[in-house]
Amino acid sequence: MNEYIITASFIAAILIAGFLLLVNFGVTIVTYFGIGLVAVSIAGGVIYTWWKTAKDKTIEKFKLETLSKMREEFNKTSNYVNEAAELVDVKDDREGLGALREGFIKLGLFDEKFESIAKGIGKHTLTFIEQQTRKGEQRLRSLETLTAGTYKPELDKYAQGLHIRLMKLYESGYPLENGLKDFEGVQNRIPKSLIEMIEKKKTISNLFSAMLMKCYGEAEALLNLAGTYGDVSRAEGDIRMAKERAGDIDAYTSLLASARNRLKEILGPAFIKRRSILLSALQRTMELLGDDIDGLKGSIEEILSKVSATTDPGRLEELMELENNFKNNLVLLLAKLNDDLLRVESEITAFGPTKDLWARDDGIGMLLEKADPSTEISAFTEEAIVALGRAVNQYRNDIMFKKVVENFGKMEPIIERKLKEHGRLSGADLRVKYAEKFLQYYSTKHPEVEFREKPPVLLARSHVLGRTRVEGGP
Amino acid sequence: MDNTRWSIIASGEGANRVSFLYYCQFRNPAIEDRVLLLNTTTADVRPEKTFEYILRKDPNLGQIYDQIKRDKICIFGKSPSGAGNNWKVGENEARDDFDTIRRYISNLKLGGRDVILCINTLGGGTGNGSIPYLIHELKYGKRIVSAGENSYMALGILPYDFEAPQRFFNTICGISRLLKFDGDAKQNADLLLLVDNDQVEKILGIGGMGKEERYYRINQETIKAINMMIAAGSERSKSTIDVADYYQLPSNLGVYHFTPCMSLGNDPEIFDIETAMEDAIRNPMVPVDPKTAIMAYVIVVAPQKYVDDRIFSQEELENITRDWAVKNLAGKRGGVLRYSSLVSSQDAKTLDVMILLGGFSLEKIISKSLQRYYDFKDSLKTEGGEVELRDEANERIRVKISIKDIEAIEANIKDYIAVAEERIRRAHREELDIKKKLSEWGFSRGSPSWRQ
Repeated sequence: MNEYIITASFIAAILIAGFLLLVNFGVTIVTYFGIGLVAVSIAGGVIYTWWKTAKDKTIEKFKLETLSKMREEFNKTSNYVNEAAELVDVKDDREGLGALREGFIKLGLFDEKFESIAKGIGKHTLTFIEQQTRKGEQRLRSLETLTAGTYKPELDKYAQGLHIRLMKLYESGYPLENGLKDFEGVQNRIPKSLIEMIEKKKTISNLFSAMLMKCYGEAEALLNLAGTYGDVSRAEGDIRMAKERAGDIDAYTSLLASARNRLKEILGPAFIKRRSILLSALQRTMELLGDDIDGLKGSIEEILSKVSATTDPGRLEELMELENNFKNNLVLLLAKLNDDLLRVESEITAFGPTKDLWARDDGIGMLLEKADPSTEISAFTEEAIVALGRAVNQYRNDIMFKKVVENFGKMEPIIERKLKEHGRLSGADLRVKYAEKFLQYYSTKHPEVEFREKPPVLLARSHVLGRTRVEGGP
Repeated sequence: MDNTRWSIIASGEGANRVSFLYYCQFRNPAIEDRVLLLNTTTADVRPEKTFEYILRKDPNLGQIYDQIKRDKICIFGKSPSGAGNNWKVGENEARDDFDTIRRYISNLKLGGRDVILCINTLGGGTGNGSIPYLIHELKYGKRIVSAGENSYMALGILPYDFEAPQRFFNTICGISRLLKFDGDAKQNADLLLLVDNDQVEKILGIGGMGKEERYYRINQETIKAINMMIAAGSERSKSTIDVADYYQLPSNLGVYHFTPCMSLGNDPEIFDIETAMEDAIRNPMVPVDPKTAIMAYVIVVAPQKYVDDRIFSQEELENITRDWAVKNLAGKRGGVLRYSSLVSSQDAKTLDVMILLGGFSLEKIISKSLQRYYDFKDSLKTEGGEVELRDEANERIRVKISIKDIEAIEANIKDYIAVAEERIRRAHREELDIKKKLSEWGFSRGSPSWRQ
């Protein structure tokens, strides 16, 4: 606002002064006054701009920021190029970087070591500095692109090489499924710039190292386990040599693979025997359970599928874990079956069936207790399977009988009516499931009828007597 | 094909309970929310009275009651204390307030071929008086509710044996008026379903329970029958029993009373359809001799899995029904009319069977009521060709009915019974001499049928 007032006042003063000069001294003087005024304005403007620029620190700050950023970019590219040197020859790229650095130093923008910004940059305008840094950045990008062009095929070869070695270890039985999946995920990623390529290389190298460490750990653990099954000296030698030649990836992976193959051979017979016993126990359990027993059948099924998939003797420890799982789950299943039996049996008992019709198997509880998961698999299986067989049979029998007693209320009048009509009733006449049991149960509730087992038939006593009389008649 | 839409109109306290229970327990897509509860006194439709026990059993239903009380409960008539077990009061109140009732019925937004299931207890006054009148008025009256051809099915619930004679006078009048209405003697309801409280109680074996619980259980059994009847017309049915199947042929025969016989909750692992049907026929919801029944609609609801696995099939059901009918229905040929429908249900876990037994002799039902009907009728004082029906508990409730009207009611039911008994007799008739008939139809002795 003040500036406007000053300007307006200044123009008004000039006009008043011009008018007074015109009135007092004439046109000539006023002309000189006008020309002088214009000259003074131009000189004043120039002086003011110079003074204002010299006074403004923002420009200096911009210059410093621009140059710092430039140096940072240069160092980054320089680092990438150095990292790329692990796989490709970067002599030309380094020369290009050197030339660029020298150029900046020559222009007086940086000190001679390219470590800090030169002190005399005040003599350069901001525009000049911006032009130079823009050129520099373009040069850096083009150097990166050139490096990436040669780096990419080498990186692919490198990743492929690591993958081949990992596959060798995997094929020898090391559990690398998940690690390989991660590795392949990164391997298949297509990088778009040198930076991304460098990052990809770092990631696959890290994944590879982690898997090698895992394999080494596994080999040592397997060595300890196999020691009790045979002579492991050759495998031990392989592992020791691998450690000694850790820098040589090829040798390292080959030795680890060889060690594992040797250990597999040692563990093989024990593994096959154990697996076969476990598989047989699992299959027998599944057969006994059938489709009608729920509960923990799912867990046994899961273990069976895991054991079926475990074919590598090097996984003996895993197999032993599955064996323990099986034993624990079977014990749980037996306990649940026992609970179910007790529940169903108490429901049946409420109906008061006679002993010749239904009886609980009192020996099952004791059999179930005998199945001790801390015993060896064969002994455990024999005990558990016997207990399971008895319990399952009793459970099926109980469920069947429970259905009979629960539905008897509906069946009773039907049986009664049919008996009244025909005097006798066979299972086939009844047209229900468990017809024989219904007839037998009916006979226990109705002393006026008799149940004959072979063939199952219910006879009204009057009918029996009548026929006997006829048969025994004269 | 669109499924038939059903609506329920229930009048009187007992019928209101049945309908409310149905509405709460079966949100049937065939009915949606088309339920209307009619009553003559506000006291009867307050939850703390009519629905007290239902709401106490399941407090969540209070919310449903709140939803329906605004537009689904219609209080009609001017009587401050209901119809007082006097059916004529119920009828007069419905006649006087027909416009109000019609407005509520319009809110049900009935379609042309919708079925309206009208429920009333036969011993009472409100429902027993209003429902036969409403059916007649809606069916034949000029003040029509919808322009289409709705069908009207009635569900009448018979009173307990121990109830007062007046209730049995109401019962005979109610059955008669549901079958044929007053002077014109035209068929009134298209189909009459009968349920007897005593009989259902006996079937359920709940005699030892408290009164409210017994009513509740009986009502539950009744609504299950309604639901199964509707199920046979649903798209889940393997052979649809359409609404017209329920009433057209029975109407043509002039005999259209039925009762459900149910066997529910059967374990499909144990029972086959035949055994479940044998069980069902032992459980008719009114006292009946099945051997007098001339019609049967067999509806079987089975779990989807068993139908998909063809453990139960429509073909098998039809075969079983044929053999079953020959054995159980009137005559040697298994009655004159039968349908069967297998309905698969994803929700069902049991094998449920309902046999709608029809055209049976009404003798057992009528004989149960007749003595008390006459006891009550004979006690009425005749004056100027009219008798006065009054509520002993409420002196203000009294109404006159002409002797002529009572005679017409009696004549109507007697006519109906005569037709029914004639149908039963015909069903029991010996088989025709088929060779003689063939000869009359022009077949010669050499035709294959002769040689059989």
